[in-house]
Amino acid sequence: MKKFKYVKPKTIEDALEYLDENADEKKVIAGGTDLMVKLRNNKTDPDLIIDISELEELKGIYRKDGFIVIGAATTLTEIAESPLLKKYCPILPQAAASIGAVQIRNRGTIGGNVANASPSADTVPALVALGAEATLMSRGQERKIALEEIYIGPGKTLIKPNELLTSLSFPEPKGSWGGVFFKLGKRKAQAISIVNGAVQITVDDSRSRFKDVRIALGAVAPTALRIREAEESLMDREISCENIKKAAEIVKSKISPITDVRATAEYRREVSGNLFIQAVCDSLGQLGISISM
Amino acid sequence: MKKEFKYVGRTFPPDHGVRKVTGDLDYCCDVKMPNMLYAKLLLSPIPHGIVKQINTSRAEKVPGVIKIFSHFNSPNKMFSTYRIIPGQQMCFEDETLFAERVKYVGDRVAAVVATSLAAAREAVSLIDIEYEELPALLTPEEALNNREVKIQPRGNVVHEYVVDVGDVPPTTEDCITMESETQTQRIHHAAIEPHGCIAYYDTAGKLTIWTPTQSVYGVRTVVAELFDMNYSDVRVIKLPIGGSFGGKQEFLFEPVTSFMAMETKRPVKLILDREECIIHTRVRPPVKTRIKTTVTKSGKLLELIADSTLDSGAYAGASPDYVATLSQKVCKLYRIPHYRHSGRAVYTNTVRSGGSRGWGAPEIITAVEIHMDQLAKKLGMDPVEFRLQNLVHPYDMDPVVQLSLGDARVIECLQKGAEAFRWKERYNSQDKQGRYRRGVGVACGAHKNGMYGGFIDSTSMVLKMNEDGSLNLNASIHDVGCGIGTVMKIIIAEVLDIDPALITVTEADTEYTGYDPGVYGSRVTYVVGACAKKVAEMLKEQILENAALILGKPKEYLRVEKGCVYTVGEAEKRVISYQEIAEKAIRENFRSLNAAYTYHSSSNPGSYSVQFAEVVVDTVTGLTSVTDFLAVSDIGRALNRGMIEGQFQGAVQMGIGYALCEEVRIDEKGRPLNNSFANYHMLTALDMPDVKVLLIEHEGDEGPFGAKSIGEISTVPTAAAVINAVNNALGTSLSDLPVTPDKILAALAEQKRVRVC
Amino acid sequence: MLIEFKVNGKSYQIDVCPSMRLIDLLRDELGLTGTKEGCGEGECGSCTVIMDEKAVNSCLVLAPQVDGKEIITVEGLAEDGQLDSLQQKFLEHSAVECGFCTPGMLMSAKALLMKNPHPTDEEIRTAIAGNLCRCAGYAKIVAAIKAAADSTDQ
Repeated sequence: MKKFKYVKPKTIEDALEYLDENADEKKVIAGGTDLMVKLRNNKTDPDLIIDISELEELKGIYRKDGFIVIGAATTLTEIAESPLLKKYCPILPQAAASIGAVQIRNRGTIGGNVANASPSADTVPALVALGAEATLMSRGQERKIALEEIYIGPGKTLIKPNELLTSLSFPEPKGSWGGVFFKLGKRKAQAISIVNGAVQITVDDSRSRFKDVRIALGAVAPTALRIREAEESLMDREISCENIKKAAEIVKSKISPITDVRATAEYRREVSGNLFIQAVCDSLGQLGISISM
Repeated sequence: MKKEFKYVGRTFPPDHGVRKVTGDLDYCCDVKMPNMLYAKLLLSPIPHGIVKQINTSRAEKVPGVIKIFSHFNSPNKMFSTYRIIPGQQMCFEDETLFAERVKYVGDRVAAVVATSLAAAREAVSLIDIEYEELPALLTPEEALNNREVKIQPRGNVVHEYVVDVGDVPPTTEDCITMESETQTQRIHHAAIEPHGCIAYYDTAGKLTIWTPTQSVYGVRTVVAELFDMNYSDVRVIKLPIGGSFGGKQEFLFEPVTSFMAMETKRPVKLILDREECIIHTRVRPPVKTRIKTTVTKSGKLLELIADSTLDSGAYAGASPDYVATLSQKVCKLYRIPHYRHSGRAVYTNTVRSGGSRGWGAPEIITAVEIHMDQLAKKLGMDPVEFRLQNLVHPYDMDPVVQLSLGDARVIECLQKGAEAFRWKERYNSQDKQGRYRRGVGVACGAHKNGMYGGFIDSTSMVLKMNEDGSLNLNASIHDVGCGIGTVMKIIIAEVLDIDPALITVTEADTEYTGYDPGVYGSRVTYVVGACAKKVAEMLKEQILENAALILGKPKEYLRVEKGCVYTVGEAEKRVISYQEIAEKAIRENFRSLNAAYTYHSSSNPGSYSVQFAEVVVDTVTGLTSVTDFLAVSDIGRALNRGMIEGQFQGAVQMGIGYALCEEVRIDEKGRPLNNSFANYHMLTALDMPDVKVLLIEHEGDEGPFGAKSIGEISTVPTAAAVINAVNNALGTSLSDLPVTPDKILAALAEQKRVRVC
Repeated sequence: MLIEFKVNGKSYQIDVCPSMRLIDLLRDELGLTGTKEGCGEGECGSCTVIMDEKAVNSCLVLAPQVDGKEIITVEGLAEDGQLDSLQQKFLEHSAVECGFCTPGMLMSAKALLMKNPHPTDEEIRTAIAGNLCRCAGYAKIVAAIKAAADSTDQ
C-alpha cells in the first residue's frame, strides 16, 4: 500500500472543501470494504483519503415529503435491519442482506455500494426498481440524478470528482406492491453476484392485469439496467404465462453479459430469463395471484 | 466382549487448545526475532520463458532493502522439493532456488529481503525483468502432442506405469461393458494459515529453520543436501500449523528462505499472501480417468480397465508417486478379477501439483464411483445392491500391493449407512419434477493406514516419567491441526491410567526428537500411535518393576489404576502412587523411568468410508444445495471422538467443494483465474448441510486399541456421493468436476433436446 | 497521525501511518497477534475483531478510522485468566482444530451473542458465514456457540 494523507472532516461542508481543494488524486472512504482491497492490490493510488464514515449528516433512514431517504454512509447492516425499509420496500433490505457477510455489511455502506459502480452491486437493481435518485453535493451546489442514469460503465459514474454522493431517495411505494430481489451467487454468503435483479409489480383492481411494473438487472451488462421494454410489454397487459415469457425474452435480448471467472455469458443470459420469470411469479404470489408457468 | 475404556473414545480438546482459543499460540506469522528481515518473492507473470535480464536499480533504492536475489546471484544446483530421505526413489531434481527458465505463472523469479515487509513488497514491484517468452503447454494433451517443446529437459512425461493383475474368469452369463470418462480439477488446499517459514544461519555456521511443515526431517534432507551441509548443522523446528491437508508436505520455501538467511546472516521470514499460496505452492492435481468395465448382467464385476492422466504442473514434486497411487486404491475397494490401470504424470506450464489429502484416492475413487453408479443404472440395479455384490471382504488380499486389507468393513459401512440414511426409501422416492429436484447419492472409498509396503514407516519415541509422576513424550509429532499430540496422550493415558493433562508431548525438532518421516499416508494414528502405545506399555513395565521393588511384591501381583499401583490378591490392598514410584526409583534405586522405542509398521489395512448425500438442484439456476449428509467409516476404534466427527465434517466441506464449486482454473494465457478467496469459493457455514457421522468400531487391526486412520479417507468418497446425487436428481451422467451451475443447465438443455428429437 | 482508542478495555494513544490497517496496528504495534491474517481482503474472517460492538474485518479498517473506537480482540475474551464461555465451549465441543480461524470465529460469535443472546442455528450460521474454516466443517463451531448461548441462561 502506497503512502497517502488521511483526513476525517467533521461536516459535509468540510468534506466538500477537501474534494474541491487541490488536483491530487482523492478517494472517499466510508466502510472501506472495497477501497481497502483496491489499495492493497495497487488498483488505486490516491494521495488523499477523505473519511466520511462518521459524518452523522450522511447517516440514517427516514421518510420525508412522500420519499424515503437513506444517507449515503448508512451501513448495509442498518439497511438490512431497518423496520421502515422492511415495511415499505423489502427488496432493498433483502439486497443489502445478500451482500458479503456480517463483517462486510457492518462496515460497507449503501453509498459505497452505489458509487463504486460495480456492475454486480446488489443494492443497485433494487434501488433502480424503486426509482431511486442520488443526491450529489459539491461546494454550494446540490443536484439529483436518477440512479439508472448515473452509470456509464463498470466503475464509472457521472459523479464529478468534486461531488459527494450524500443520499439516495425514492418515492414511498404506494398501494399494494409485490416485489422480489433475486441474487444468484455461487454460495450463500461472500458471493459476488453472477446475476442479480429486482422486480416490483402492482396489478389492476380486477387482478387480471399488470399495472405498474419495474424490472432491473445487474451483473449482466456494464451497468445495472432498468429494462423498460420488458416493463412496457407487461404494463396494462393480461397476467399470463405467455406475456411473462415474452417479457423474459425481452430481458434476455436487452442484457449483454460477459464471460468471466464466475460464469459464462450464455449461462448468465439463460439464467437471467429463468430468474426473471420466477421473480415475476413470486411477486404476483405476494399479491395473492398464483400463476404456474 | 465389550472392552471398557477410560480415555479412548471420549472427547478431548486438541493440542494447545487453550492457547488457540486465547490467541496466545504463535504460528509462523506471529514469530518475531531480533534483527529479523522480511522476504517477498517475485513470481513469474508468464507461463513459460527465459529470464533474460533483471534490473534492480529502482528496487534497491527503497529504504530498508538489504538484498535482492535471482538466478543471477544464487546457486543453480537442482533439487527436489519432495525428497524426504537421500536414497528416495522417484524424486526428480528439477528445480533451482530461482528459475532461469520460468515454467508457470507463479514460478519463483526473484526475492527481496528488507527490514520491513512493506519495503520488501514495494521493492518487488520496482524490479524490472526482461523475459523471452516461450510457447506454453497448458494441458497434458498439449504437452503430449507438442513434445518438441520440452517443459523439463527430461521431456514432458514425468512418469508412466501399467498395473495389470488377474484374469477375466470364464463365465456363462451374458455380460455388458460400459465406458466413462471423469475429469477432476485443480484444488487449492486452502489452509487458512498462509505458507511461510523463518530461517537463521548463525556465526558458527549452523542453520536453524522454523517451519509449519509436515516433515522436519524431510526439510533437513533437502536443505542440507542443497547447501552441502552436515545434517547435524541443520536444525529444523516444527511450528504450529494452521491447516495443511498435504499442502505443507513438500519443502518448497525452506530452501530459498535458508539461502537468503545464509546470505544476509540475519533471520529471514517469508510469509506468502493468499494469492501466492494459490498460484505458487501446490494444488491437488487435475486427473482425467477413463474407465471401462465388464460386468455380468446379474451385477458381478469381471474386469476394470482404467487409464489416468495426471497434470503434474511445471515440476515433478510428488507427482511420480502420486500418479502411481491412483492404481493402488481400486482393488482395495472392489473385488475385480482382472484389473488393469495405465497412467502417466505429465508436465505442463501450470502451477505445480502436489500431495493432497487422500493422495490419489479422491481423484480415482471419484471416477470409479461415478462409473459404478452409472453401471448400476445401466443394469437396472440399486447402486447399493450392486456395490454390495462387488466390495471387498475382511482379510481379502489387495492384489496390487500384495498386502492383506485387514479387517476391511466396507460392506458393513454400506449396509449400516444405507439403513441409517433410509437409502431404499429415499432412492425410490419420486421428487424429480418441478423447479427443485431432489436426489440421493452414495459412494464408497478406500484408503490406507501408513506407508508400509511402499516407503519407510518407522518412528522413534522416548516416554519418561518425571519425579512427580507426570510424563513427557519425546517424539517427532507433526500436528497438522487435528490434535495428533492429544491422540498420543489418550493412548498413553489409557495404557497407564493417568490423567492426559499430566502428559506433555513434544513437536518435531530434528535436534531433539527421534526420527519420523512426517505426517502423510494416514500413518499417524496407526503407526505413530502404535509406537506411543508401545512405549507406554514399556514404561508401565518399568513402573511395575519399580513398584515391585518398593512394595516387595512380584509385579505379577500388581496392577495400575488412576495413577497408582495397587497390590492384588492380598487381604489388605496396598497402594503406591506413580509420584512415589518415580521419585523413589531415582532417589533410592538409581533408576530413571524412561522407555525408548523405534516402531516399524508391519501391516497396512484398508480404511473405508461410505458416504450418502442428499441434494436439491434448482433447475432455474443450476445451483446445487447439499441438504443432508451421512459419513460412515470403519475406524476400528475411535480415539478422540469429537475431533473425529469434526474431521469428517471438515472433510465433507472439502469434498462438496470438490464436487460443486472449488477450482483453480487456468486461462488461455496460463494465468490462474481463481487467485483469491474472493473467487476461489469454499463452502461457508450457510452452505453446509448437517453432516452426521457413523463410526463402525471393530478393533480388528494392529493400530493402537484397534484404531485406524481417518484424516484422508474422510474426504475420499465425498465428491462422488454428491455427484451421484446430482445425477440421481436430474437423470444426468455428469462427470466433469466441479459440477457447476452452467454445466448443470447445459446438461438439462441437452436432455430436453434429446427428448424432443 | 495520533489516534486514541481502546483495546480490550485499555486506552492507547498511538502515532500511526495513515496507510496502516487495524490488523497491523493490533499485531505489530500492540503485539496482539491472536488476530490472524488469512487473505487480507475480507473474505476469510480470520482477522475479525469487534469494533464498537460490531464484528469487522480488521484488514479492511484503516488505522486512522479507529480513532475514538473501542476494540475487542480475542485476547480480551478471557477475564482474569477465566475463559469466556465461548472459549470454554469451543474447547469442549471440538470446535477448535488447527486454531487459525478460531480467534476470528470467536469474535464473530461474541459479536452475535452481544447483540442476540439466544440465536437460532440459522442466525449463528449467518453470523459466521464470513469466517472460513477448512478443518471442521462448521458443525462443531455452531454447536459450541449454541452451547455458550445456552450456558448464559443459568
